[in-house]
Amino acid sequence: MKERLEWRERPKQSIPISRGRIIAILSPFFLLVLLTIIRLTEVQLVRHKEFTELAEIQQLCKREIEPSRGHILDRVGSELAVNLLDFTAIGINPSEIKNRNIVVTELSGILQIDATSIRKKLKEHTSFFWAARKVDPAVAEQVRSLGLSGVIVQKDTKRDYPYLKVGGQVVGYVNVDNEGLGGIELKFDHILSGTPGWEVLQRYGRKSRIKDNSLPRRHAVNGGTIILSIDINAQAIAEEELEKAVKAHDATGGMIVITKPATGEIIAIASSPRFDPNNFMDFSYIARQNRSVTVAFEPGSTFKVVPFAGLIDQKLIRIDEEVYCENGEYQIWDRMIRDTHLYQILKANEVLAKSSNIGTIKLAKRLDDDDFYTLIRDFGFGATTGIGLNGETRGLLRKPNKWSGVSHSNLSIGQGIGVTAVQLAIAYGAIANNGLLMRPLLVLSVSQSDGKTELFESEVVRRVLRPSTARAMRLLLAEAVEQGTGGNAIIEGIRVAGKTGTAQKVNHEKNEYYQDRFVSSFAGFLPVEQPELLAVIVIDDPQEQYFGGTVAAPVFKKVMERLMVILPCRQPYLTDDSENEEEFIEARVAPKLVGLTREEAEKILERKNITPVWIEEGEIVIVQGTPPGTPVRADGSIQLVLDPGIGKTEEIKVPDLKGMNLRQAMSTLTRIGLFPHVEGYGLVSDQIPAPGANLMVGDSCRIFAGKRAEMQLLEEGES
Amino acid sequence: MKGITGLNSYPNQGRDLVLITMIVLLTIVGLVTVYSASSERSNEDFGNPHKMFIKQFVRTIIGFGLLFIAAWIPYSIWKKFAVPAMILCGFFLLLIFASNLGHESKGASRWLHLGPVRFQPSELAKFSIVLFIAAWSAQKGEEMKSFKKGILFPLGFSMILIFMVAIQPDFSTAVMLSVIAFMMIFVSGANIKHIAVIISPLIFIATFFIFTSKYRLARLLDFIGVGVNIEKAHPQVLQAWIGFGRGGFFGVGVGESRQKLLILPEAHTDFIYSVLGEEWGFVGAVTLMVLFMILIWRGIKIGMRCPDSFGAYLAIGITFSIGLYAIMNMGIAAGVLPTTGLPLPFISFGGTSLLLSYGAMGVLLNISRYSQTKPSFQSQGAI
Repeated sequence: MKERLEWRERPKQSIPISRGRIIAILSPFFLLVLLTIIRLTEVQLVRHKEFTELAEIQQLCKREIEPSRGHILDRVGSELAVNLLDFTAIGINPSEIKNRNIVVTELSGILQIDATSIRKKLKEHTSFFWAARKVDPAVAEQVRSLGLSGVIVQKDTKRDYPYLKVGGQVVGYVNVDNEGLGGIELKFDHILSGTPGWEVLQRYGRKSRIKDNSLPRRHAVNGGTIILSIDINAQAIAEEELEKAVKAHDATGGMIVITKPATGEIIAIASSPRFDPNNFMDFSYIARQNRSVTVAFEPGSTFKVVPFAGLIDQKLIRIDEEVYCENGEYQIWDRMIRDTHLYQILKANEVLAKSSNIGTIKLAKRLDDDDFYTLIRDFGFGATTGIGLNGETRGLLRKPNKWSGVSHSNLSIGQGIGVTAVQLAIAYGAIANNGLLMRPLLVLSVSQSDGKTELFESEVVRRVLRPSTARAMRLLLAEAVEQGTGGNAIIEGIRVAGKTGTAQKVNHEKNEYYQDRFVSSFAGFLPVEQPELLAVIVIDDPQEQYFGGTVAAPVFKKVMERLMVILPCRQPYLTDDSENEEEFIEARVAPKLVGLTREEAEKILERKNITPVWIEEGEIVIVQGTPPGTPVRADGSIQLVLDPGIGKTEEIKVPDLKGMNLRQAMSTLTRIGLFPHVEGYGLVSDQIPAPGANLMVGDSCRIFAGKRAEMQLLEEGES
Repeated sequence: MKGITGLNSYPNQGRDLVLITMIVLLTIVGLVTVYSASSERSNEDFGNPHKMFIKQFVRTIIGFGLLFIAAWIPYSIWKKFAVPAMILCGFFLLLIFASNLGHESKGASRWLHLGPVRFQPSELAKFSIVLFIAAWSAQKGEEMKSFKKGILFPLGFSMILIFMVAIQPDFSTAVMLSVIAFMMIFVSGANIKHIAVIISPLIFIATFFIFTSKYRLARLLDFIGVGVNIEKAHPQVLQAWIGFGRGGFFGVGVGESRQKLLILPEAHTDFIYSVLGEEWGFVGAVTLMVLFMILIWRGIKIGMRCPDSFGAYLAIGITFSIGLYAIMNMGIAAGVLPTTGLPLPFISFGGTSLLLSYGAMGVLLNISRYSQTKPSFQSQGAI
C-alpha cells in the first residue's frame, strides 16, 4: 500500500511527455476527423439523393431480351417456318478489345470472313456489333477457346424452313437479324417478330452484368403463330407437277394456284423457278418471288369466260344461237383476227368450247363498253385481290375512255389485259361459287403468344353473277373440257369444268406479239356441280408444243388426281340457297370506324344493321375486324377492338433537357422511367427525341452535351 | 523477474478494459465489412466468395493470439529488441531491394517471401521505428534536446529504413513512416528548431520525389483540382462518394453494397470505409470514426500515465501510428486527402498490417497494466 501511494504521486513528477506537444500533434488529427465528418455529412446526407441516382445510372444497365420469332404453320399444323436454337452468334465489343490485329486475324481465319470487312466494321462501330451470326456451334467453340477480350460468343437462333423449296415463296425468308424479307415472313413481320423485352442488369466490374430480380424488367413478348390455308402436301404436289411440266416443255417458268372456290382458301400457290428460303442468297430475285401474285400476263382464251358470263347474265345470248365464224379470218379495223381451227357456223356454247376468237368477239360486241369494263372489274381484274402478300400487282386494265377501236374485241379474247394467276383463280372461283367472288384467304389465323387468336374467315367480296348464270357457265366450261380444247383435263369418274388459254407473248421491244412464243394456261375446277377444288396453271414460254390444252391441261389433271387422294373429302360447302335472286341481300359493307368513339360507332352500325362485337374495354375504336369498304361477315357482325388504355399510362412525354447539366438531365430522365444515353459533357445542347415526343417506360433518350455533341450532330447530318 | 523487466515496482492496474472493448468492436466491424466487401472480389479471383473472409478470419485469430502473448510479456522487454528490430528490418528491406533489382520488369514489389510466409517489411519498419525511438528517447531523457547527442542518431537510423522503403518504391508509406518518426521525436522533447532544420530539406526531397514521377505529380495536381472534375480526375474517389452517398443516413444494409461489385476499386482494402459507409450509412461511418477516436484517447492516456518514459513513448508511438493510419485512410476514402493506398487498421483485408496491429495493441494493453488510467475509486477499493 505504501508502494502504491508512493507510485500514485510519481506520474506527476515524471511525466516525460509535454501535454502541449501531444495536443500539437493531435490537433491535425482532429482537423482531419472534422473535415472527414463534414465531407461525409455533405456526401451522405446533403447529396444522398444525387449520388443514389448516379449510382443507379452507373450500376445498372439495360439489356434487350430478344423474343423468339413466331412459327408459320400450314392448315393442318405442319411447321413451315421454325427456329433452330443451337446456333451461336459472335459479337464484338470494340472498347474491350486489347489487340485489334489479333482479333481481326483470328476471327477472319476461323469464321472465314474477309479481314478488311471486320476492320471496316471495327472502324465504323464504337459500340457492340455482330461479327457473325448463325455460326455453327463447333466453330463458335473455337472462337470461345481463344478467350479474346471484347469478343462475345452468345446463343443465337436460326430460322429454319424444314420443307425447303416447298412453299418457300409463300412462307418467305428472313435475314440474319431475323427480319422478314419476303412472303408471309415480311407481310406478318410485325406479328412474327414479337416485342423485345428488357431487363435491367447490375454492372459487375467493367465487363460483366448480373441479374437481380428486384430490378425492373419487361418480359419479351414472343412472336405470334400464323396458320396458313396452305396444305403443304398439296403444295408439294402442285410444285412437283408444275416443275415437271416446265421441264418437259423446256419453259422459262410457270405458276400454279389451287383454291377452294367456296371459301377462297388458297391450298397451294407457287411459281417456277423456286428457291430454298434456308439459303435464299443462292437464288435469283425472280425465284424468290411468288410470281402468281407479282407477275401479270395476257391470259388469252382463259379470259373468254368473262364476256360469256356477262352475255348470259345480261341475257344477251342464247346458248344454242348460231354464230358465223367468218371461216377463220375476221378484220376489225386494222387487225386481222384468226382462229386456230376454221369454222363456218358455231353454236354459242361451241364458240367457248372450241375457243373461237372470232365467235367470241362477235358475241362480246353485244356488251356495252362500260358494262364490259364493270364486269371485268367485278371479276376482280385490274385490282389487287386482297391476298395480302407484298408485291402483289393489280395487273393491267385500261378504262373504257382509253380504249381504241379494237380494245373491246381484244379484251374479249384476253388480250390487252394483264392478269395474275391469283386473279384468274378468284374469277373462276366466282363461277364455281355460284357467282360470289371470294377474297383469297391465305392466312387462317394469327395467334399472339398471350393466347389471343384472330381468325380470318372467308369473305365474300361481291356478287358478280347471278347463281343461274354461274351454273350455266359451269356447264359451258364442262363442255369445253369434254368436247372442246380442254380434253387433256378429263378425269375419269368426275366432271371437270375448265378453259384453256394460249396467248402470244408480247414483244415489248417491238410492241407486237411474238409469233412463236406463248403463255399456255388452264383454269378449271371440279366437280362441276359443287366445285371443291380449283386450279389455275400457267406455263410460260413452252417450246414446241404450246397449246394450253396440251401443255397446261395435263398438269391440271395430274395435280387434281393426286390431290383427290390426299385431301380428305370435306363436306359440301354452304349450299347456295339463294336460288331466288330477290332473296340475295346485297353484301353489307363495313364503314370506317377506326378512331371513332364506341357510341359513335354503335350509332353508325345500328343504321346499317350490323352487330358490333366488342373486344377489350375502352372508349376509342382502334382496330376493326372487317376493313372499311369490304362486306361484313355472313352473320352481319363486325369485330371492333377498343383501346384498353394500358398504353396511355405507360407513355411518357420527353421533357426539355436543354440547358440542364448532365446530372440534372440524367436524373430527370431516370426519375420518369427513361434511360439516358449521354454523349459529350457539360450542358445539354440537344436531345433525341425532341421535347414533347412520346416514349414508353424503359425507352432510352439520347442527350448531347457541350461542343463535342454539336460536332457529332453535324457529322451525322452530313453522313 | 525483477532483473529482467524492472516493472515489479509498479502496481498492476489491470489491462485497459475500454481499449479491449474498442479492439473487439473494431474486430467485429472489420470482419463483417471484409466479408461483405471481399465476397465479390474473392469470387472473381478464387471462385469462392468466402475464401478471402476465411483468410481474414484465420489472420484475426492469429492476431488475437499475438495480442494475448504481447499483452502478457512485460513491455520493458521490448527495449532490448529496439536495435535488432531496426537491423532486421533493414535486412528485409535490402532483400526486397535486391529481389526488385532482379525483376525490374515485373515492377515494384513490397512483399517479402520467407518460405510460406509473405509479409510487408515496410509495415514492420513502422513499429521498429516507433520502438527504436521510444527506447532511445527514454534512454536519453533530457539529452534529446541536443541535436548531436539526442535526435541525430535515431532520426538518421530511421531515415535509412525510410529511404529503403521509398526506393521500393513505396513513397506514401515512406512519408507515413517519416511522419511517425518525427512525431516520436517531437513528443520526446526535441528542440523544435532542430526539427524544423531537418524537416525543411526533407520536404525538399519529398517535393523532388513528387515532381520526378508523373504519376505522383498527376495525383497531387488532380487532388488540388479535385472540385473541378472529380469524375475524370479521381474515379476512385467518385466511386467512393457514390458508395457513401448511396448509403445515406442509415445505410443500405449489411451485404447490400453495390459499389463493392468490382466497381469501387480496392473495395476490400484501401476503400473499405466507403463500403462500410454504403452499408451502414452515415451512422456507421461516424461510429467507426468514434471507435478509433476512443482508441486513440485511451492509447494516449495510457502513455501519459505510464510510470516510465519508455512505456510512455512506446504507447504514444503505437497509438499514433495506428491512429494516423486510421484517420488518413478514412480521410482518403472520403476524399479530403489525395488518394494513396493505406490500410484501415483492423478493418481492411490484409495480413502484415492486421497481425502487427494486434501485436501492437497487445503491447499497449501490457503497458496499460502499469498506467494509472482507472478512476481513483478503483484503486481505493483495492486498498
